[in-house]
Amino acid sequence: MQNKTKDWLEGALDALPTQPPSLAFRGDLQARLQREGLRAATEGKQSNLGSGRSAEPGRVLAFVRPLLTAVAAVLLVTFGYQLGADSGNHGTTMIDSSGAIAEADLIDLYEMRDVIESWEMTADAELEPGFQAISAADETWIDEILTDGQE
Amino acid sequence: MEERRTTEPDDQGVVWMQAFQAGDEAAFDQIVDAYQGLVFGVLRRLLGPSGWVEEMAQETFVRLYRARERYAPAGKLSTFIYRIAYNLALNRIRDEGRRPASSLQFGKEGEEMVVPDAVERTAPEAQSDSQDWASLVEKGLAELPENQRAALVFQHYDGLDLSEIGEVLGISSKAAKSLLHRARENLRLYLQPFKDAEQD
Repeated sequence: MQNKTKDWLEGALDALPTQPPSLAFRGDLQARLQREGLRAATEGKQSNLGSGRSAEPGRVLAFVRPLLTAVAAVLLVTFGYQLGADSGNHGTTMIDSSGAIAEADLIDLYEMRDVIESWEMTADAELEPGFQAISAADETWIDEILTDGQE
Repeated sequence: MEERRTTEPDDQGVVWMQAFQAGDEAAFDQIVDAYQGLVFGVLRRLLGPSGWVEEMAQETFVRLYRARERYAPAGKLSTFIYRIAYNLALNRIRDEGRRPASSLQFGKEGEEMVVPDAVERTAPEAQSDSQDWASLVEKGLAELPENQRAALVFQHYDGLDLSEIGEVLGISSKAAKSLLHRARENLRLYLQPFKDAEQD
């Protein structure tokens, strides 16, 4: 590094003028940002970011957004719950508050048991013969079924 | 790059940029207000007295605005801005192929230069005031290779250290030091005849 106190080159370099920004620069920049769709009109918008601590509003904004989203979600869930609660109970209460079952309900239960017992339960294996078990005789009616809708 | 700078939490520019990233548009205006002088200054010295300074300055801030999403604090914001401005100036110079008229031929980096007798071309009496020195320095800087010119401008006018110059130019600190040395020697070689004439 050259010694600034002795080097004439430093003095020569200091003679070079600079160019201050034009007064219209900021306005022109703002107009261009808007023209290119990068920025909405924000004329007159003031920032209070004058010091190191002044960046807080921007940071607060970053926290507020997810908070608002969470609040909206909670409201939505609460509203949905209320809608469900207001719809009423469409089921039949068979047991009263004392825990006793009414005689008529016992009869219904018994009749339902009879109905269920009357059903003929079929084993799964019988419902799935599989194509490999199809005999030559079966092929005819299978073909009929397959071609029936096409005729 | 040898020396990568870490985030500087005390840098006001970084604070503004982060606020801008968080959605505070007004923080960008703060950045423009704070750094427009710096941008104009460096572009003026890199581009010379051309009409491109204002346009390139505007482009620098537009690029900064566009970098909003991908900006990651690494060192000072000014270094980031210098880098944008430098690359834009470099592109502009190369696009124009502009080499200001001069009889002096600077070689490429590290090459010997042919320096004609400047005193013969210019009346010594006319070179004594600062205005003329400004003009001479301007011509001398314009004759330097772009990276030498930039290194000297960043070091002398903007006070960047070797690490920062390296970061802006995309080279190592050692290479920046070498570049600065050559820039000074080349400029000194250009200006020396005028200096001698002034003393006669």
